[in-house]
Amino acid sequence: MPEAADEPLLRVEDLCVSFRSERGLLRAVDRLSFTVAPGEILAVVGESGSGKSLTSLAVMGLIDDPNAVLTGSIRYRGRELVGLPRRELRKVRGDEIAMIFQDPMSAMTPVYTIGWQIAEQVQAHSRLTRRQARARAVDLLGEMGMPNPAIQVDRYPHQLSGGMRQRAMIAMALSCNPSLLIADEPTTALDVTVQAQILRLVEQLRRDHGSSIVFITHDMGVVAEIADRVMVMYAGKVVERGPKPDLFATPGHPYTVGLLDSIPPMAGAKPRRLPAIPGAPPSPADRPDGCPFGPRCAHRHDSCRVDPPLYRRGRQDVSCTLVPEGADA
Amino acid sequence: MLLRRLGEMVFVMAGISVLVFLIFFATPGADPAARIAGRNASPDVLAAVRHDFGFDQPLWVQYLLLMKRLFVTGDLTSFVNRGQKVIPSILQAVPVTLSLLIGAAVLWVAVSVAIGVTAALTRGTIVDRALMILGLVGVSMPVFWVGEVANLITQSRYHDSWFFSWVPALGYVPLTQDPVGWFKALVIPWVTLAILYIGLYGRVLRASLIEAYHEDFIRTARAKGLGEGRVLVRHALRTSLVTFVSLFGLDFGALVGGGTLLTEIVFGLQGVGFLTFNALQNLDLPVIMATVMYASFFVVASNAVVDLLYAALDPRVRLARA
Amino acid sequence: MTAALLEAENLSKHFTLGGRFSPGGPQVLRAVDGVSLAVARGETLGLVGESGCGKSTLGRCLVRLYDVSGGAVRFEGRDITHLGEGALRPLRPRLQMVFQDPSSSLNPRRRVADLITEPLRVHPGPGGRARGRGEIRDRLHDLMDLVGLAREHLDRYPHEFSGGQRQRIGIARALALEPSLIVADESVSALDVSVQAQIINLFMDLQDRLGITYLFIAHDLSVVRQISTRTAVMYLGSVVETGDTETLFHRPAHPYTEALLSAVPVAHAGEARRRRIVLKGDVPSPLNPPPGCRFHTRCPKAQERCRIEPPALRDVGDGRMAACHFPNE
Repeated sequence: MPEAADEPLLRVEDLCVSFRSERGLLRAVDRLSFTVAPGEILAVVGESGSGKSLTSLAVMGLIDDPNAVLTGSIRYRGRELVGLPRRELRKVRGDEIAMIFQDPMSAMTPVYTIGWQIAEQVQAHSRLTRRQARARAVDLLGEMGMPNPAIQVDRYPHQLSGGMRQRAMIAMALSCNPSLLIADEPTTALDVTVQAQILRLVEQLRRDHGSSIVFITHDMGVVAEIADRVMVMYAGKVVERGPKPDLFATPGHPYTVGLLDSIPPMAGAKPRRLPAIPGAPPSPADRPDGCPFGPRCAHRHDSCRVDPPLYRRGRQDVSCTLVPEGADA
Repeated sequence: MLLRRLGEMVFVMAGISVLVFLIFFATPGADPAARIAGRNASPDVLAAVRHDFGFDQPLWVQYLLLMKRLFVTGDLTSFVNRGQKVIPSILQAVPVTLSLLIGAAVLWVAVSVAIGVTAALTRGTIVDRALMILGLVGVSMPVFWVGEVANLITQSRYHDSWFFSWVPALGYVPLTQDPVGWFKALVIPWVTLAILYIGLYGRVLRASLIEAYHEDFIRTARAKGLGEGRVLVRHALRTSLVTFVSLFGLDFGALVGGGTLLTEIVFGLQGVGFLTFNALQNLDLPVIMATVMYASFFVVASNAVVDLLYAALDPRVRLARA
Repeated sequence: MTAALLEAENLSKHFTLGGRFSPGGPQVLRAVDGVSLAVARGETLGLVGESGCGKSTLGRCLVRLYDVSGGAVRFEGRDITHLGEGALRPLRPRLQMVFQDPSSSLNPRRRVADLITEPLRVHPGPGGRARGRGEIRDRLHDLMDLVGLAREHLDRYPHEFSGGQRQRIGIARALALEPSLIVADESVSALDVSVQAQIINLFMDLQDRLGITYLFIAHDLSVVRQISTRTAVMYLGSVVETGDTETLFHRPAHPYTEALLSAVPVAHAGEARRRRIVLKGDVPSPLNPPPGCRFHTRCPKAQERCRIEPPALRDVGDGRMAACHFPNE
């Protein structure tokens, strides 16, 4: 397939994920559009209920709830994935686009060794023999920095430490050299010192394999560490996106500002009180009309009753009416 | 590990034997001599019987005597049918029970897996609901009733119709003598015995499959690009097997030990259950003692097998012990 | 230093795994091994460490939810190490605990009003008499105002609240009997960042108003820095460093503290990033801790002496105590 020079690896347009319920159709992801360029790390940030994990599952075609309705377009290398027959989708999954999950303990089948599980994926997408697939598993584990990979390959998930399990999970995801890796909170369940190891590994992956990575997290610190570009989600929508340095230096949306301010600083003066955002993120069932952040926003005014589009501000896109008015959030 | 298991087994069986012995010998008003001597026996006869069977000796001597004849010399004889050796009669009954049980077990495992998988895959649809209702019906029908109805249809009412004319008369045909006859004689008992377990196991498997499908590792398996068939068999079914197999082991043990009693009686199969039933009716203590020992052996043994299977199926169990 | 409110002296908690009959015999897990610690009246002592370091076990030993294997616990100057349930009962009102997951510690079938007033109904009031209805209602209203719960929510059930609100209920419950000390075990860890800030502020406000002392257990270092006046760092069952929070964060004496701090990804643009020290390998098993200094297997500064001689916690200047043979200046 011919590829335009500036064609992104992944282009998501107007993605909506809704669930049929007693209270009608609930929109969990609402007209979401974003792109991922080859070799870039896009961080998707949001709190619980922001729809960030659901978005990643949608890209993988892994939403299997019979009550879910998915509309919009997900193009990978120019090829539409929405509505692709299962058989075709299966060839993309695991081979071209791979995913790692938050909790590798529950995300790996407990009754098989990690080597078996990695080999299973390798064999699903290649003609390698059992023996070759196993050898590949050993190589991958070694590459992920696991000591004694030839021994570890025969261990079960529950025998490994959290960090080692996540390495095995990443080895499995990378076993077919995917061009796009989706990582859903891969370090949330880990201790900080182990998180540092895994973040270093992710950076190394991008450097060595040139893979694009969609890194989903709730931790702004991790975003600051690893991302090229950032997309901030709130209540199923993008509220702000842009290159990392810009977004951290001059956050445009009051929610982004609030999110950054809520984190206690690790150095410098301690605030007497943390500038917390009042209230809690809304669940899909009771999202407000107009700007979804409106009820928690200190800058709310009349024009917030209409859901604002994404306005351009420098290299950032911000979904807030304050932007065109020139006011600073 | 194995030695400990064996020790446990001996301990449990000894406990059961003492308990059974006490129930039949030491319960006030349950004088075994009176039962054996008959209803209107004179005191002289009663005394003779009592002496003959050793009932005039202390309880523990009686117990040891019984155990010795059961396990050491193996020449324990029935109280009621004097001269009938207990151990050979059990050995004769075992193949009947095993034939009935193994056939039924093959049937119920195969059918319940099919039902459980189909229901789990079609969850929420008419098919699922219909299968589950059928399963419930199967669980609710008592074995003796199903057996009697089956007999009524195949043995009397419609025996002469072309459909059931192949059904032989009630009773057991040894496999070694006539394999076809063995099969014919047992098909209906198999189905009868299996119905309950098909319903039970189908429902259990459906529930554990549905649970497995909610697990994160199923999502991972799909994310790996595996086919649905492989996700089902190698991931969902494989992890559900632990519950299924442990249930099966326990049920199988209980059934070998005499749980097939009702089916055996309805179909006139002279298995261990049948033997136990007759012995209980006549308070034939040596036979009861022997069948109870035999039953407890299988229950305890199947428990041990389940534990081993459990470890074989689940590395978390296996490695925790190592 | 003022007299300690809560004090641990050489405290140990060992768990025995496996019975006499299990292969290899019973194994002893030294979850807490010889910890000495004092919490002064009115201060907040932060207790940090990675998962499995024994910080939660230590917290539970200190409020005597666990029996202690060795050493002593003193509360308000009184030795409570070996007090039985009955003797502890009169102390319980003053020694409370707030857990991580409020939804699992709140009975889902009870209304908020009942949940909060339960301690008032169970424990007698001053002078040993039972409290009257009116007294309980007044106290309930006070408590709800104190933790920021709306009075009209009195009759709701826990599931009708968000995570942050449920944590407020848990805090109100702990406050009901006017405790002098609250042990907060990962009390803000499960919350969204924006909500977490609110609860941190609440803890700090309550301290200002009521003069409560906290032992604040958390794995999140920035949270601990914000809330605590002093900090203790645990590694593999032992306290490796204690000190004034600012000093400890600014100039850690123990190499583990240093590595831990450097591993935290920093979100704030203005904060200078520390030189990242990525520790090698995993935390050793507490079933089989290494000899000598427990950190020597991962320590970048480890020397021969560290492998043999376990370092004692000693004064290293500026109010810092560190268990290291070669502490940083």
